[in-house]
Amino acid sequence: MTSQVQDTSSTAALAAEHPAPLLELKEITKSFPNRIHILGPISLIVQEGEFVVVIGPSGAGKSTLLRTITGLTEVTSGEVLYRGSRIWGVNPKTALVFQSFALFPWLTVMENVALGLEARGLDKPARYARARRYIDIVGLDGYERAYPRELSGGMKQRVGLARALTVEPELLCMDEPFSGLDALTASNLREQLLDIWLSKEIITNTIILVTHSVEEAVLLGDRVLLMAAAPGTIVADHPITLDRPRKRKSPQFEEKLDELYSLIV
Amino acid sequence: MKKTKKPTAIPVLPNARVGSIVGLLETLNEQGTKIDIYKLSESLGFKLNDLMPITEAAELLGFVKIESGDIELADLGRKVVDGDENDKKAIFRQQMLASVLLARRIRSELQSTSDFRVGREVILEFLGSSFTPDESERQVLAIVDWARYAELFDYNPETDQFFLPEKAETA
Repeated sequence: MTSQVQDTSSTAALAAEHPAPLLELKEITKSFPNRIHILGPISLIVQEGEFVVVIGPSGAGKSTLLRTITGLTEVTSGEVLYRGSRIWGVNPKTALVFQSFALFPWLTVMENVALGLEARGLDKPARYARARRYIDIVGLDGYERAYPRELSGGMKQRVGLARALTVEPELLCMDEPFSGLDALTASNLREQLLDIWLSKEIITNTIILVTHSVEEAVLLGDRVLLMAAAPGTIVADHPITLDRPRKRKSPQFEEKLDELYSLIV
Repeated sequence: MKKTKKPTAIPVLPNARVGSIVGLLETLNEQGTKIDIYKLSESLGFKLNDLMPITEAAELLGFVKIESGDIELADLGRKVVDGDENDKKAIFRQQMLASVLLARRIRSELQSTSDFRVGREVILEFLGSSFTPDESERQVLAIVDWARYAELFDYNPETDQFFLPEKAETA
């Protein structure tokens, strides 16, 4: 027992000596071929387990930032490091969820979710078993055979989330996932996302979420990055240390909201 | 021309999605005290007419108490908020069987067939005694959403049949 404790602490000490954060952006910039400079330079470190929220005006390059992190867009200069290694092309340890998730109308919920696994070389029973697990986790069990046209907006977004989670990403990037939803549906989904993030059962434990809602940022984030436009840069990196679950009505919550609003103005 | 409806024997199922009902309960839980429904709709950015079916559904299922325009989380509603996904489903299932006539009816129809499947038309005929054809379709849509969440029964839009998933798979 004692030796085990010593073992873990020495491993921890080793890790501390060579800290490779989950994600590190080094002076990245992005320009379009017509030389319009839209992003950066941005430097950023995200540690494993963090819930980072990115806010900022439209056109600040929030979506472009997520796309470079997941490798969907190449940087013009600088480096994207994942666990200390440079990533070329799409990073398989990440997944991206969009505001309006494209579901195939002729496929059931199960088929839509399992689709993300076809490229991973799993056979059909294995794909379906894994898809079923994540359908359960996002609270859609019972709806496996439903078609997208039978689902509400919130449930379509859950299917999108399940599809992203089935590839078992370590880092989940979300681009305004709740902005197309009504207030009640969004509130329900936010709670569930927090449950998933805190759950020890799934691999995904680091989230970067883009939103335009300051309130959502304070509800969800450990840390809020504020971006400014033209070109998109990070102008503030603000910790949110409120206890969870967070109550919108609490004075501490209001205080944090005020702080962030004052940064924006 | 206005259609005169026959006296309604089957209670109307409010047109509210499960996600909205659970969202309402979470919002009320955060609120902590009773709140005027009108004020709630304003703070959520909902039209009162859009919020009403959701509050009615929550009341029908016993999750909230509504009294003179104020709404408040009931004990059972708090259990839904605090429970994990399986607890939530179990409470929905129990409350649907207890308080939703249409759910009970479909469930017993399913259990009385040999292959655990019932055609949509059987249920529409049942609903036809109380509702217009349009309203009957809406009722089916609403009950399927709730039933799938509660895992009470499922519906296959390709064959237009209700079915019991756990039975039909092996049948």
